[in-house]
Amino acid sequence: MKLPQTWGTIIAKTFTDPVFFFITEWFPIYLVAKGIELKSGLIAIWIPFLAADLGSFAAGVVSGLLIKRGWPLGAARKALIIFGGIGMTMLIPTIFTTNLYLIALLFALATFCYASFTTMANVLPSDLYNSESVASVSGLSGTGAGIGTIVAFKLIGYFSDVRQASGTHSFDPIVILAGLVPFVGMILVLLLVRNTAATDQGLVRRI
Amino acid sequence: MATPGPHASSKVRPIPSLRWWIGGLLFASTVINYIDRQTLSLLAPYLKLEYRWTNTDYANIAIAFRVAYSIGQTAFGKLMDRIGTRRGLTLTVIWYSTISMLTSLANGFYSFSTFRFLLGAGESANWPAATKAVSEWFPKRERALATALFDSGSSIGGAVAPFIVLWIYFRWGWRPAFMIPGTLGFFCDGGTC
Repeated sequence: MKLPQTWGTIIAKTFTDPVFFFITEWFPIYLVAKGIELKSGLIAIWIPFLAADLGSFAAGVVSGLLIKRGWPLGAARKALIIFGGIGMTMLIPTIFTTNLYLIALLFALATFCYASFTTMANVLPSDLYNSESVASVSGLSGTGAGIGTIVAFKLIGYFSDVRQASGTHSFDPIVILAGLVPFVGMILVLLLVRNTAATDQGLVRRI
Repeated sequence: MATPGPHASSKVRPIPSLRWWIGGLLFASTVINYIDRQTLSLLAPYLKLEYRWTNTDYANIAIAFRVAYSIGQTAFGKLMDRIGTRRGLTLTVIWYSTISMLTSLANGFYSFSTFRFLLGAGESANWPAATKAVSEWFPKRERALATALFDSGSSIGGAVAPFIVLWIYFRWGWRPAFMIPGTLGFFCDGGTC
């Protein structure tokens, strides 16, 4: 717990999972708030899910390829985390449109990038820790993600109710935050997860 | 959904591809898990109107699921170690399928919250169980791929859910939209027994 790497690993999940669960559990309500009928939205509503799937496979393949090309493990993981953190900001431009296809495309880019970020967040514990600590660190990041999601849902409910009068813009602050939080998470992970004195002491593996 | 009925039960005969049947089964249970889970969020815009929920109310119902889910993921890992993956997986599928079907009887904020809490508890067991099954059935070098396979069931389930759930909703209303997808789990389970 005292190690910055542990915090970085927890943040990697805590700052990204709530955004994905916002998409899985609020997307239909969000679309209706945007003035889109689900009946006509059916053709687009599934796309972000498929994008998430492709993203996690792509992330696994790409980070494997980078390592094969001689990249250090840490750099290969971080490259995909940076890609994910930047890509998830694609949620923000949705505030300018009520076009279903454009919204679905931007959300799909975001979920593709989320999957890249979270796949790396899932492997970080096994990259960094000895096998006896892997499960407890993964457990901590799972708990962090759970608490983060609960807090996020409270805020989503509250702010979308407060801003109900603004109609199609009622979710604007929420999607802006949803785009920025993973970006901040990315910066924190880059700062916290690196080789430190603890690495030299053998408490954490070198990445 | 392909369920490897005869193969899965013949543990004694070594079938080279048996583990991939198991992988397929884990994938199927994850797909169904996500379809059952997505039913509520897909119907939420309509249920909100019917029960006059605010988004805060909906958030609280969704949180009921999350709380149980977060606790369950840690708690059920230990249970799976005790009862074994096979029985464990069968139990979780029966649990969440039954709850999903029972949700069609809900009639307001409190009953929805209760059913979602129970669904979250049951569904959370899928991950520790499937991860354990992968570690039991697959050699080390294939584990990453097998995990990726069953885990992708969540996005596939999320992608097909709108078609199944909304199609049923537009035709027959929201109660069958919980009831019918809920039965899917029993087909999957039938395959293992």
